[in-house]
Amino acid sequence: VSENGDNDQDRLSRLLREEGPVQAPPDLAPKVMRHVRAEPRRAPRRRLPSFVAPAAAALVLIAGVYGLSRLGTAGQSSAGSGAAGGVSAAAPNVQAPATSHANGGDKLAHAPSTIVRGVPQDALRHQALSASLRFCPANRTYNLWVPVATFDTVTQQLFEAAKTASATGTPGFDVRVAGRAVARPTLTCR
Amino acid sequence: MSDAVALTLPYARPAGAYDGSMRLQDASDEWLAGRAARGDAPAFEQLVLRYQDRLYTLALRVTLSEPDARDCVQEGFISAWRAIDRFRGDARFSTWIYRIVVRKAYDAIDKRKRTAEPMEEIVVATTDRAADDRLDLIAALSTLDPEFRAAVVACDIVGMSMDEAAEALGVPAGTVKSRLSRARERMAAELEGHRAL
Repeated sequence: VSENGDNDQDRLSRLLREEGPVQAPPDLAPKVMRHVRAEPRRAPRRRLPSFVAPAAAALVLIAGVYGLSRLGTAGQSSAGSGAAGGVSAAAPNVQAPATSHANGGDKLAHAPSTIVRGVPQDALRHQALSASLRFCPANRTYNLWVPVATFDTVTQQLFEAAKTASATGTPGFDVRVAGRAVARPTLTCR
Repeated sequence: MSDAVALTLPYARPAGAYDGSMRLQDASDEWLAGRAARGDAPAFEQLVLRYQDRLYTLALRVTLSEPDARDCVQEGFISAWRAIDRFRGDARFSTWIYRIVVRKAYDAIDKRKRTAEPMEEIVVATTDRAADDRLDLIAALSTLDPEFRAAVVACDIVGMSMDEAAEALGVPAGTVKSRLSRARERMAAELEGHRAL
């Protein structure tokens, strides 16, 4: 590039610099801000540190394992207390299994459970044969915990018995049947 | 000859710690952008006020059309508002917003080419020599290809450094430098032609 060329370019650059910025139309900023205010920002997504996802996955896994281990323990302890407490007139003993059941119910929200109404006494006795059968005070319902694997069969049998009892006018009890992690059927009062 | 020309405009201050008593006008671009990302519209408005003239100049000189320039800047700011939470603090807000508007300006030119709308030719008669020179200058600028025009506007009119212009235009600094040199040569020749008439 010749010296004249350089001078021309310098002069040109100076002229352009002097040209300077053009003023934006006065309504430009207000228009932009009208749009902006009409379009509120979403809360920014926070980027989590890279270790958070694996840590969360590990926590979920640990919680799952712990929950499963508790599932077995809760079932066994409830079964034990149900058998021990029975349904004698002593109120604390009657309430104990119910409370334990309620807690267990929270933990085992996914466990199968249903209420069968009008189950005759002999059908109940048949189901709870391996458990010590104690009769509830009047107007109380029964809680029958059965191993999850037998839940469907037991429920079906109780429904059939209730249906027959209803047809013959035999009095019956309301029974809440629940599949639980128990080794044998457990009958308590609610 | 220096490549970077600094204009005495109300420039963004360097990012600094916020002392609690800072007014929005005194805050750095990056601080305002951070506030805007959390939904602070007044902080964003401050950025709009701070950059509207320079962005409008850039868009006007690149598109050679006032309505297009207005649309580019307006849409550019709205795009920036929508995407500001993706603006990384390690970049400069100025180059980020320039780049958005430059892209809009190129898009506007492409769209105009496709629709083939005739440009309105404005002929201004004046006896003022200085005004005449200015018109010649703008006329010479308008003969350049958009990419070359953008390099001249970014460096010579808006006052960006070579690196800032490179980032804003999305090309390497060497490309900006060569475009700038060739553009100035072409403009100088164009102006000579005007004077010879």
